[in-house]
Amino acid sequence: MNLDELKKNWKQESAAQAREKQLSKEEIMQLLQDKSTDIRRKIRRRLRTEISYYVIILVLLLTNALQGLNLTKVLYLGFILLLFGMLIATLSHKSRQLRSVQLTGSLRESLTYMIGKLDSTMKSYMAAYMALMVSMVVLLEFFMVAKHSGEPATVLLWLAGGFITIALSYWCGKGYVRRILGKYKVQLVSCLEELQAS
Amino acid sequence: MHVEELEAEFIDLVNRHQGIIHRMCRVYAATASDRQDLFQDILYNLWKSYPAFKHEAAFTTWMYRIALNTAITSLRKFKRKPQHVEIDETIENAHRTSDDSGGDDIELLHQAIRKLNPVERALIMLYLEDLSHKEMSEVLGLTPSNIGVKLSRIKSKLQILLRQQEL
Repeated sequence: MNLDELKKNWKQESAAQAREKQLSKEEIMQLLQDKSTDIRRKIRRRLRTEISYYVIILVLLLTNALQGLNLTKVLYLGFILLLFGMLIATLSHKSRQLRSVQLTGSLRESLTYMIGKLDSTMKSYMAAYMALMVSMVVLLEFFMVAKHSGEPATVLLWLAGGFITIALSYWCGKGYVRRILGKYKVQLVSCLEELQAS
Repeated sequence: MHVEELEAEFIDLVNRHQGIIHRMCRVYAATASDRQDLFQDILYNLWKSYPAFKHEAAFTTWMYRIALNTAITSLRKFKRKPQHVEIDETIENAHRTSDDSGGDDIELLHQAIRKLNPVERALIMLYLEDLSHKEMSEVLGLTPSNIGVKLSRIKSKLQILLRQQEL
């Protein structure tokens, strides 16, 4: 098979196939509406999943700390919920931004742009997540240290536990972000490298 | 321009050139359902970007750009799904008429193209679509001379793949 001959057949064959698959204007509009609905549904589903993860973390970490509610604890809970709201807003904003990216430039520009967008989304996810986790742990530590101020060994245990929790949170967060966006970024980077290779 | 006019103009242009999208889908998606998904993704991205389309460039060049960008950035979606390539292809081939030898050659060409990496596929598709090196450089963001070098290497690779398939 000669490539030049195949080139001649390519358009003829493809044109014939395209005629077979030709969509009407109504079908095109329907596809556009379905896609738009599908994107909104996917963003909502992703957010619901993320929210459920965080609710589990919040319940696990706060149940013990908030036993015997008083004004300070209510303020603490308010602050954590505020951070939680900010985290969800960040996730929602970044998800929408990522799905509404317009790739109108050349392939090289689009890949570079998309990689940048993924990078910034990964950093925002991490920053928002760590802000919530660190604040929660620090405030929890504050309550526990105050409660057990006369018992240095217990205080030390709580401090060590807090440190380990933050380190584990960072490690888990990194892994999660890498799992949901990192592999995609690696794939795009490899395409860009391939494109730029001489 | 009113939304209705914009919509009518867009649908008319897409209707006239939808062959480009179908061919792009066939190059980047192996199964019928993936092709359908990719077609919808490309169409959606074209519509989303259409208000910003400046009529300085040819509509087809712009369409190639967006279709290709969408195909390459959507590849992970198709890789994640279970592979039904063989079954789908067999069913599709069975529907083809036996006297369609040009179609068989094109099918073999498609199979060979799918063995190339995404960037090589892009270059070879634009070559088969008969775009000039200048047009390819607008779509890919590479210099025309770089395209020439890459293309000759990919053509040789594709010829080898085609020969292997013939054996």
